[in-house]
Amino acid sequence: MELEELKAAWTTLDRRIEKLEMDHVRPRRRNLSTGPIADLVCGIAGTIWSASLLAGHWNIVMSAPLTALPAGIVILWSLATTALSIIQLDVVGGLDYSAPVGEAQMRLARLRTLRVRSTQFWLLAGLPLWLVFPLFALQSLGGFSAVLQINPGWLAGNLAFGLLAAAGIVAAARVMGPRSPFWQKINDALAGRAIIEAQQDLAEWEDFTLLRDRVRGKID
Amino acid sequence: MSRHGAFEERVGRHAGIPIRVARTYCRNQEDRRDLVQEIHVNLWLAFPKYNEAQPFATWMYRIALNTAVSWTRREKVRQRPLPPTSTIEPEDDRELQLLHEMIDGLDAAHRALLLLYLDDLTYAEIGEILGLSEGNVGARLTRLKQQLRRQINQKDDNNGT
Repeated sequence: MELEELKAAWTTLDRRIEKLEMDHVRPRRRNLSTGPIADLVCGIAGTIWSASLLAGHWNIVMSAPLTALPAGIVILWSLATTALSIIQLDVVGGLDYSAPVGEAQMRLARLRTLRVRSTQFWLLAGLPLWLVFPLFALQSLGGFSAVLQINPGWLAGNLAFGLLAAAGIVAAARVMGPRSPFWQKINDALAGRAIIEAQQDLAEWEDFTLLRDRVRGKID
Repeated sequence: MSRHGAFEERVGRHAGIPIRVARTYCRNQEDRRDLVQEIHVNLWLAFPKYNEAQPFATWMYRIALNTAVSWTRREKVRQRPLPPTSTIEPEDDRELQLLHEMIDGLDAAHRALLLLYLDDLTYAEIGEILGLSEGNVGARLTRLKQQLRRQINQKDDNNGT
């Protein structure tokens, strides 16, 4: 059998399939900007809220710097979330499916790497933030100095709950992963598989396109 | 002619491209229908930015291949077994079955390269679509064809032909 025979077979069957496959189709479209936009909204809201809380109680912060800790951590988390989402939106904005396949796929692989890093950041930051957010909410609703009167038992209880919740998320991701794309995503991010896969894809396309220069050097 | 009419007319002239691309990346018929539809949606969304200076078929191949590669990764369809409703029947050409086996063994980039070779595109056109120089296309195709010939010979030997 020769390669040309395979080529001929490909062409003939293709004509037959064409009629079968165009009968009915289901429309579907995935928007790559949805996740980064949601992150951006959370990041901006967190920054404005925490910054305005700090600014409104600056006198207390000066006399008792410890009171600034929850809002300070929320500001840092919000700024990091905002920055990550802006970088992702920039990559999404440059995506062009009519660009050469190698170029577009490398951009998509970079976007996936960023998305996974962002998910990891949210998951890893979740534990300390579980403790910080109630304190921050208490400051917002019950007075800025309220954190100074916090019962250590309440803090320990929240920390324990945060640890249990984190363990619960890891367990749920493992059990539900094979059945649900959402949990599979969490599971892959936690296990580092998603980042490895994204980087492998990027390397695959880079090798494929970069060989151009190396091969040209040998051929020309 | 309306934008929709112009789109229909142009896409209709190359209607086989999305189907051939879907066949290269997807063996499951239901999934393939979804993929063909997603390619058409992306073509329609990109159509306002289509540059008349570029051949329409090249533009279509780029969008179809980018959609298929992304879709395949997302759906992980390569792991799914071929269902009995597949359009590949036992009496189909032995050549075609062998071709599908070989396609399944390739990564996304080389699948694209093989598809464009099977579709009889020139090195310049293939390079334009994939973002490679003609020299790279030639070198890659030579290696790919050698690999495929080895596989064909191996199959022939196993079948005693």
